[in-house]
Amino acid sequence: MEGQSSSYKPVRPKKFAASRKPSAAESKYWKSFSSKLIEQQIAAVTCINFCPEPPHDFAVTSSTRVSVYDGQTCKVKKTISRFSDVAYSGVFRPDGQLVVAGGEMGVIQVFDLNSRLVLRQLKGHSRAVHWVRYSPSDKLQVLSGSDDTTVRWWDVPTESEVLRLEGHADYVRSGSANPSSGDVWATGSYDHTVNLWDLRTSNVVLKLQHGKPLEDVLFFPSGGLLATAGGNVVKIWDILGGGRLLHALGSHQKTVTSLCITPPIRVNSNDLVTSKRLLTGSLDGHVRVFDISDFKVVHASKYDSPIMSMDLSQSMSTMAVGTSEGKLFIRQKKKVAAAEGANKKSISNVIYEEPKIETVLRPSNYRYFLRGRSEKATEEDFYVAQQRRLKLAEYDRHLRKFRYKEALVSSLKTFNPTVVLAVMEELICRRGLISAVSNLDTTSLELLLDFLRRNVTLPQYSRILIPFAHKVLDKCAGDFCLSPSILHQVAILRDKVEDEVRLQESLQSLQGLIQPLIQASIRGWVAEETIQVFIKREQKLLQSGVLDLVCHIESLWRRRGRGRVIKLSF
Amino acid sequence: MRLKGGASLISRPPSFSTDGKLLLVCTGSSVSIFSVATGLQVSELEGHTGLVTSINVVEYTEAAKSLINHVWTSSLDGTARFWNFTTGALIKTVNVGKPIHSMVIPRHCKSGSKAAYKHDIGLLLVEHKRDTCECQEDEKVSKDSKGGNGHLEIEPGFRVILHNLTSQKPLDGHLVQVSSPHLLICSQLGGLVGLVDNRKIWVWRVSRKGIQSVESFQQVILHHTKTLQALAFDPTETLVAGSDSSGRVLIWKNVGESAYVSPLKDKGKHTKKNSKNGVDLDLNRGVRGDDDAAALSSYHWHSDQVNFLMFSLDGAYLFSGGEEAVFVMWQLETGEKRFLPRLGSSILHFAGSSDASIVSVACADNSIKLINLGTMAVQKSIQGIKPPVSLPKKMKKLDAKAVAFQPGTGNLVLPAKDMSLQFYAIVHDQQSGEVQVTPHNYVSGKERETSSVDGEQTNILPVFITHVVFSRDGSSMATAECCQGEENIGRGSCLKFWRRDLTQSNFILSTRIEDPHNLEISSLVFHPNLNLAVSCCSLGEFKVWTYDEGRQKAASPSSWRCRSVGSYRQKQMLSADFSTDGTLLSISAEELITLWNPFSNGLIHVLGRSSMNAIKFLRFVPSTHYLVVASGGTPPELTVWNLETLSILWSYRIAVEALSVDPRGSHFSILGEADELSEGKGSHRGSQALLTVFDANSPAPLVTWSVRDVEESCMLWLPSSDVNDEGSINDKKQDSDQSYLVLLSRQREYTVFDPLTQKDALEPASKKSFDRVENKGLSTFAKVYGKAVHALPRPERAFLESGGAQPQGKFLNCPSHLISLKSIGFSYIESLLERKTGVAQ
Repeated sequence: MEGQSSSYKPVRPKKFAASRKPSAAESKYWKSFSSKLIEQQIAAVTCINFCPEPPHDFAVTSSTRVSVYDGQTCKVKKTISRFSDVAYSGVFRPDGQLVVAGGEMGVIQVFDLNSRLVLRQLKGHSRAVHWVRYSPSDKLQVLSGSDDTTVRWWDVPTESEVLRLEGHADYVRSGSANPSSGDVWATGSYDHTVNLWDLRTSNVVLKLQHGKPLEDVLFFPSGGLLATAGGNVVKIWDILGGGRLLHALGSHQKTVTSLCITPPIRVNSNDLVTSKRLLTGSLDGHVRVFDISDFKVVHASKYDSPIMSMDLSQSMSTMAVGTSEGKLFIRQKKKVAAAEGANKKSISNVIYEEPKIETVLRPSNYRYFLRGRSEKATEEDFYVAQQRRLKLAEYDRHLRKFRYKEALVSSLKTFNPTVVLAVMEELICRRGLISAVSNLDTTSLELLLDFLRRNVTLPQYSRILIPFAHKVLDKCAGDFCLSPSILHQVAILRDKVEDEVRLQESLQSLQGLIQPLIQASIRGWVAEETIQVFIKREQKLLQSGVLDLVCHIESLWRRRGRGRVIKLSF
Repeated sequence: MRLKGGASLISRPPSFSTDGKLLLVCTGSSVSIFSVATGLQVSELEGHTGLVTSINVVEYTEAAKSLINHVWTSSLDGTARFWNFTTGALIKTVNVGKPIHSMVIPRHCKSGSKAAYKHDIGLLLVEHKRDTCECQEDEKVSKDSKGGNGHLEIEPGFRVILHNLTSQKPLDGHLVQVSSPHLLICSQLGGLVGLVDNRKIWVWRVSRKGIQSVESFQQVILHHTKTLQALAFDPTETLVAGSDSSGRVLIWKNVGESAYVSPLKDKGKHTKKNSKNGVDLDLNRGVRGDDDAAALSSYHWHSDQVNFLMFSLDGAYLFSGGEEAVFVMWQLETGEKRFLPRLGSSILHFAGSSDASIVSVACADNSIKLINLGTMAVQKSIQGIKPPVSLPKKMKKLDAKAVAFQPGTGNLVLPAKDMSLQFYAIVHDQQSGEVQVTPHNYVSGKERETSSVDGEQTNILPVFITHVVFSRDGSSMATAECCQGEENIGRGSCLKFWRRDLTQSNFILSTRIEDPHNLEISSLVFHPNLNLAVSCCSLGEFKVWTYDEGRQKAASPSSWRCRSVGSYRQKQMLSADFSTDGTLLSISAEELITLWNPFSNGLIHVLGRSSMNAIKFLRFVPSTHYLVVASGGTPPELTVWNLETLSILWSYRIAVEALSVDPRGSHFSILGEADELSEGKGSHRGSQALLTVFDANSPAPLVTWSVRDVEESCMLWLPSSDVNDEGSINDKKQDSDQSYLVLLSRQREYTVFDPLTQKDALEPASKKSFDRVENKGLSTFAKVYGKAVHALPRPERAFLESGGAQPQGKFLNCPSHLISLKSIGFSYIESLLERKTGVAQ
């Protein structure tokens, strides 16, 4: 304790409270999918499908080819381009050995993944096949939906059509198999309906009216619930309850194109319960994450172009999103990927492990003299804590030696406003801020003005920075003529402050609009003298400060403009 | 007798005992003795009735007497006392009759002239009524009639007089008269005595024949152009070091050579001195005027005032320290310096021990630090209650709560200048913990550089703590600090919430809110049961802060959030309080009292009176339905509202400086200036005030105490259970709902007493329970041969056991190295005598 008191206490960067979000853990979880790479495809990415088997490779269908990416490295493994026209819906067989894809020509092709050979061709559809899936229970049958309004059930080995299901009146573009029973399928069509087929009877078991052309249909893993996406609405249906509508999620602005459900995940590492999430991707460029217990949005992320397709790996380590502009976003969790890699390695090493040769080190061996050097302390060893030297940043070293100007300049060079603010507060405590900004040289003044320009209008810094900007303008007014770059900086600062004033004015008019509304709503239930809801009083204060500042700059400008005419348009 | 404590440790320089194992410190009217090894108090010398001003440990050169610990102390009560500080026994009291500001006893070690020991002559710096018209005889008369009001206009002067402490007789005449009291400094061998007086240094060389009268001293005056601060003599008595307010250290060589040496005609010594210094010095080189010194050299490192100077025992090093809080060790030969920086606050005094490796410095934050010179590190720190932080005038009208009690522990929580909170156990009179609110680096002189734009005092800190409040269970703490800013930049406040860490029993910052209100926080209060706090601001709004449980789990830095904001007609809100059950929140809005529902944010009622004075304090009286309200302005008012009938119960027109409510009973106390008294005294400083205790049920005051110097003092109620949980006191019957009143003065000296019953609140014995843990080093013998097995002679032990009473308990009740053989013998024999008389009866 005695030693502590005599050491220099470094300046800590300022921390500000994070903005309030309902579930920070949720956002943290989804943000942990870091953007691994962005691939540019030839045309819109129409389908992404992850292989259920590890290492969860994924097939991306775009234009006339299907690319298979490695689940670990996210590099292209294979490219299947044996299509004469646009390919659609390239998906894996559940064991990951084969890939089946539809196409504009109406032919469904089955490829061997290794040799890329066409194994089977299923011909029968008269128009484009946009949706085709292997049956989840066996490896022999596929179901396909086509623009000729039919849904067909194929036997792959014999290349023969087993069933032709006719019940839709428009293009069939989506479908899903019931996970609990391989014979029940749901298909969605542009005729605004979802048909539930029982392949044993080849009849429509249930018809659901979605109300908009269907883009995607997805059974929940339990098989009891069905999510349908059409238009900007996602509807959740209770199938076991006879097709009852449970929820309608209308939080997207544009058509929802893809649905995706996660396996049970543990969002918070110390949470005991696992829960599933429903992901929706839409043409408005948003992916929204819903908690399926209450169907509330828990997270949303924005992409810069309309989303056409999206899928997640079963291990929840990789996420791929394809857009209409052909961009493929691959996002991967770092930790999980690394863990999986290690896991894989250990499995492969099980087969043959090289026996370790125990060598007795003798003085003839060079290593004899190095032995024990990399010895690690065991757990029961007593650690003697080494006295660690406090590493001080440059501004701290200057502060320690009471060189205030150098400290301020070196903190400005970090370009981190929290550091600069902390150093400024320390200088204020030492009453050295004014002396630190007087007689600055040109480059430092430029740095300072640049910093002010960037941060003076931010509300969390404005308390210090607005009066500080006044002082700087006062102190350095004489130096403005020294360099045109400084003049330039002052002009930009002025523009920035003027913009801010305009923003404040509009905000205030908005506040004026809202205030009576709130007053009226309050008056409904309590008397006049009641708590006023706080809207943005800080904004008001900030504004007055900003207004002063803009006047200050203007007056300076006018004063120096009197000498010679300055062009204000930089 | 009440419990008192919190005395300043640093008013005068401390002093080491002869063996260097104990440190004697002036604490108010007593001398506290600390162990150097542990830094804990071991005993106390009590007896002086005034402030103790100097400590002179007597050093005996004879081997037989070297273990005896004797000390002379002087005090402002006009006495010098001689103690054996091992036993704490007072041996002799010498009455001088005038307040003694400093005392030194020059010693004669040269050839051990035994005659000197028979007569300890003390040089005393005493207060003296200076009167230019009256001559010496008249002064004596005026001295006798001291206390009369006739001499109030005369400024006190100070004289250095001689007093024969053995025969208790003063010697005639005086050496010098000065205008301000400084410390008398004596060289280690006792040959030189010095005194700093403004821009002069007075140096007296004691005649070798011993001190008979004033004529035994030869006087030399050294001049300087700046105000001098400190003075030191080197062990060879050839160098005099002085320091001035600009931080310069001046060293005069061969001071008084001509004056001392030529009358003695000791030419041999003259040549010896020159050869010792190695250089043939030009006479009067660098020496100002016709000062009697051979040469003057100056050392300049300090940028600010140097408060002490001291030579090391061998004279090779010079120690200095001052406002920079840097302890500097100068090697005089080479001019090299070693530093021990960042001692926390300016260094005031210094004491060197016979153990050359350990020195102690007294710092301005009321701490004494023991420094190991070998490692240049602080070894131990004796921390007293830290000096107060003065708030600017503007803040005084707010409901500042800068001092609080930590619930359940009896710790007083005080803000300190270094932006920390000191937790001070009042029963033990020692620091029990510290929480650094904001990282702070000591910068010297910044307090003085404060621009006095507002016309306020200039010693206001740039940042200071205005509020400290605890939740009732003590698990949360909230602090509010206020930044004055520099020329309006960075002006604002900061609200911090702290969570108590049960494993380490300290507080951890959980939330930091910058600028919660746009102005300074005027009041801060916790909900009694929930994790809810309310802060209000003089700008006319209050905010309700709630604790977010989920955020705490996520280890978020912001677990407290503003739930709602309220205001009432944009009126200033200066004070807030929750009712005892927490269902009602009461906030003052200028002259009105607003009552809110803290859960639904609904305004329940507004209480108002016709007077337009802003309410300053507002407190619920626990276990009643009453609300005490105090307002300032003219006429000031103290009102008790009955919240059941929403009417005034009773009211006084009385100015209230501080208001405090008993957390257990229906009592509350106010501290108000007694206007009539102070007006009657005219220009009397430190106006009298009245501390009045009321029962909320009746307007008749229960007890009234007269208190001096009320400004910036604090008053708090302390539940007695908090004190008694410490397990130190009062095995008598205790009412669980009893509370003590704690009065904290501006000097941070506190008094704990029970205001209602006149009996002793706390037994004084509780304070005497010093920690006697002592880690004694092994002796050389023990190191070589292992510990010797001590066995008492068998007959003696048997005798003691048969005696029933245990006499050894009385004289062995102190650390073993403190027991002198002599005292053992005496007390042992005494114990025997007692037993015999008992038998005889």
